Amino acid sequence: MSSSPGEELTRLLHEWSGGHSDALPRLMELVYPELRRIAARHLSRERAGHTLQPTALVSEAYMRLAQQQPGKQWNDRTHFFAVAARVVRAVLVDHARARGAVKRGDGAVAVELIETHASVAARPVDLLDLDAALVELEAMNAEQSRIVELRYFAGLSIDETAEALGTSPSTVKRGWLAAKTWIRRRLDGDLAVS
Amino acid sequence: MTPERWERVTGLFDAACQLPTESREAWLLTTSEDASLLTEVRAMLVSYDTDPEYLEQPAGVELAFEDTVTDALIGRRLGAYRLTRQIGRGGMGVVYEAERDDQEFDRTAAVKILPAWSAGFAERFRTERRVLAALDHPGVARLIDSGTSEDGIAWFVMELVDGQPVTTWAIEHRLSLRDRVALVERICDAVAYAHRHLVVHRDLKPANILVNADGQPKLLDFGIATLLSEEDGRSAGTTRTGHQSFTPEFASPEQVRGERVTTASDVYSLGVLLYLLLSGRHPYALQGLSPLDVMRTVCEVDPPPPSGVAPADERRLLAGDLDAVVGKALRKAPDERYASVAELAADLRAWRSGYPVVAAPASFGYHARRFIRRNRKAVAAALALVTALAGGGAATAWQARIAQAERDKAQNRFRQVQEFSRSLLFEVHDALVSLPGATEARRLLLDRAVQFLDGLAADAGNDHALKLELSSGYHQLANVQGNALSENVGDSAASIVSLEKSMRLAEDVRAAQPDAIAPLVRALRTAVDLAAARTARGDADALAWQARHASLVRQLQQRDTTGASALVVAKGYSDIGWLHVKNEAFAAGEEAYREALRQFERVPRERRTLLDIRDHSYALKRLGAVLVPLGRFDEGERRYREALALDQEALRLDDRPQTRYDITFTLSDLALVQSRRGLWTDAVALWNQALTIRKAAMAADPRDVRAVNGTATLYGRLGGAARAAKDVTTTVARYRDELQLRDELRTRIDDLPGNRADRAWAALRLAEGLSDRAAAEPRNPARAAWLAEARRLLNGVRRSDGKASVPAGSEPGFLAMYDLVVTRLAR
Repeated sequence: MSSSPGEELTRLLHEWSGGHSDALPRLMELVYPELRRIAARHLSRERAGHTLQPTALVSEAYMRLAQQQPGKQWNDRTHFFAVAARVVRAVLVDHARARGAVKRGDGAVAVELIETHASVAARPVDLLDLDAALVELEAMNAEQSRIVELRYFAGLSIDETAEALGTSPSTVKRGWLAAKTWIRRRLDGDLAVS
Repeated sequence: MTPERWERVTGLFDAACQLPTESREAWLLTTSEDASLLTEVRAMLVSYDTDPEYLEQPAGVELAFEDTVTDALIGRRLGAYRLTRQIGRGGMGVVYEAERDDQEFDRTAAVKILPAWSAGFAERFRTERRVLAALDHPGVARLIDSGTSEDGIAWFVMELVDGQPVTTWAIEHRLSLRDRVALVERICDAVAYAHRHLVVHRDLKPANILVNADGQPKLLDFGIATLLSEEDGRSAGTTRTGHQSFTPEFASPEQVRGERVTTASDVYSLGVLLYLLLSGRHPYALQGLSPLDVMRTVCEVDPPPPSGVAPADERRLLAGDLDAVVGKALRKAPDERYASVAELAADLRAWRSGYPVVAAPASFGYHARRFIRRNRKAVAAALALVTALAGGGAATAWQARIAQAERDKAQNRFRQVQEFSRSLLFEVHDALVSLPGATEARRLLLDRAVQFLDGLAADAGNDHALKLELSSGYHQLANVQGNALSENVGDSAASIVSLEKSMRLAEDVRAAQPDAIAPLVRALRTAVDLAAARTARGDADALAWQARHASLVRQLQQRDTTGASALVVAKGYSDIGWLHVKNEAFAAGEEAYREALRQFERVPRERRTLLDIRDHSYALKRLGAVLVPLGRFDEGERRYREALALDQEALRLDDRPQTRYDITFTLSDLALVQSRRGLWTDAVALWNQALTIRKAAMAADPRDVRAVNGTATLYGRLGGAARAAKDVTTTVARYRDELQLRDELRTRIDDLPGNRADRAWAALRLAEGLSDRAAAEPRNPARAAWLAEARRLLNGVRRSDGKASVPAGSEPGFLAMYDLVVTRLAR
């Protein structure tokens, strides 16, 4: 008997949170189309200057999936967010990689022409480098890697991140500051690869 | 990093973050953690303080999903056109490719769907459509149709331009500088045409300027920005923007401030485009800045001239006129810019034809340079003719000498002609060096000189005297090639080729006359430059050449029983030492220098020429430069003082500005020695002596870039001395003097290549000095102004500025200094 996507999602989320890491790829496959549909709908609204926040995207996806299971208590919100953050990260990194490939194909100099200089203030984030840094951070402290994913790719607040990870906001805050500062140094090339 | 170690770093970092900045260091020291761990924590604290907002803004996800999105509007018909696929999207709406099936012509077109509705939009849309439909110019994408659908979609059908953004096109077609300027001219023509029809573009940028396969630039989206501005303006020429429908990188100050936008705003955007196409860089670094900082940067910061940021091989071409043209288009105040796009185009045209540009200050020298540039071919041809005549005359004279009786006379004439042509060659070349437009003429001149010498060499046969003469000629030519065009790698190669020819000729003669002194002297003179050039290039045989030069010097020393060549031997040992030091063999270098000094001292004073005295002084200073870094200050100081005495002797023999200027280097070096020993009063006195001479040189000839640069350097030294003495007021004053001169240099067409880096250093030091002073005088009412000035200075400096033309080794120093000042000011 085939189960509905909502049911399958619930089952997989339980498996995954119970330690079955092989449930994750299938979870991402399930969540991705939903996120994509929401992004598409958002784009078709033709609102100039209105950018889509990952928070809105992830929350809306959650709401829609929760509605597919009326009557059932949906309490996998936090795990869902963790999967969604993973999906967003993967999509963004793929996109950045594809764009990088296109740029190279067009002649790398085009990039130089529009290159702007590193400024004193906040600098843009290179997603491919960020992704690589997260892989490295994962080996140093897996929870901090999750924190960055949830904060940056799912746009969750400190409190929401704490809830998703089942830990305290102060722990999240500590981990967040240390992790993002380490990443900044890593991306600046200030650290030797260890 | 291991998880355990990272855990400890995180713990310390977190705890330190809870403390006030100034108490962190003290606390860290109480933790008794190991030093490398603490270093890591400190670096993290600095990094965090520099950019606390890092990653706080979540990732923008919209664009990433865009690629995969299917579009609900595909297949929809608007007017006579059916949308077939999306080809672009931006703040100004979505663009589709569309087809019409009822007619043969204009089968495919671009349809733009406008994104926004606002008060008065419908009415403005109707008015604007009429104006835009009237535009008919090959450089403007034609408006074919427009309308609104029943469900409220506003659309334009426009000529579909199959092309590339102008910047991409310029790169892929490897356009020369002139062709890039010509391309901007054509773009200007199209914009000027629209302006005559009272349409302002307001969003000129590469994405809106496509170049098609025929090389025709086409402007897209004319008038659309006006349409989208939310204010209720009417006349396209004078609409105010209430809404930000522009691109910050290309927007004028009045645009980012939301003020009245006019045709002058398009002039500005074209100025940015010109800057980008000429130098490969944007005038400002806006990426990552907050809107407020963007506004501040666009409205207040003067970008460096394009020549300051362009690739090295084009700097000289940009310096002067094109810098001035871009500068005039980019003026902050609209009425200081070109009064119209047509005037900008006219200046670009003038530049291409070698006529004076309106933007440049009028001066006799300026117009004279334009004359030479405009008549470059004629000037070069005249020079070529002169050298050819000289060569031809020589060759004729050469044939004439077959008749024995004529020999001496002919040879004498040959010498005269050659002397004449050579001095002409080198003097004319030197005159041309200071002319920015004369690169081509210089190159021609040098090419011609090579041909001239090659021609003579081919005919030289067994005439040893001529061969030595030619060897010397190639050597001089190599110096000109190596020095004058040192910015080009290719020409240092040409210089080496000439040196090798020079060497071969000298060795030929040496083989034929093994006991003669002259060919030996000739060979060793070329050998030192050849060894130095190969060392500079890092060639594998550099050391072999160095050994060869040393062996030639020793042979001469042994052969020279009368002491007639003692000065050549002395200079030879000085050069041996110099080559050793270049290869970091300091002990061997020191030994050679000492031998050089012994040789110099053997020669009676009355036998020395001015050049010998200078060589002797060099040898002393070279020895000093080895001693001082090793901490041998006493002898170091003594050697510099001996050099100073020789310099003064030279000045007595020959009181010329150049000889006087030479002394300042010795004074400044000696001052550095004294500063290293902590004798700051002495150092400052010496620097002030040098300063007096350099300021006089600067006053005597304000065009003397080297004097201005040298004076600036001394102000920097004096600033550093004041800083060491904790005299914050003088520190700031001297650094300010330095920066002022370096800023002045940047406006000069003949600015020295390293000045950009030197200026960045000066700005950093002044910023640091100001922050010192603010810290030292917390109650001074000017304190806030000092800090503001320091921040402004810092904003004008880029991390990459330290890279230009300074030895590779000093670059980390620059970045460290930069980060230090940034961090200090961030508090």
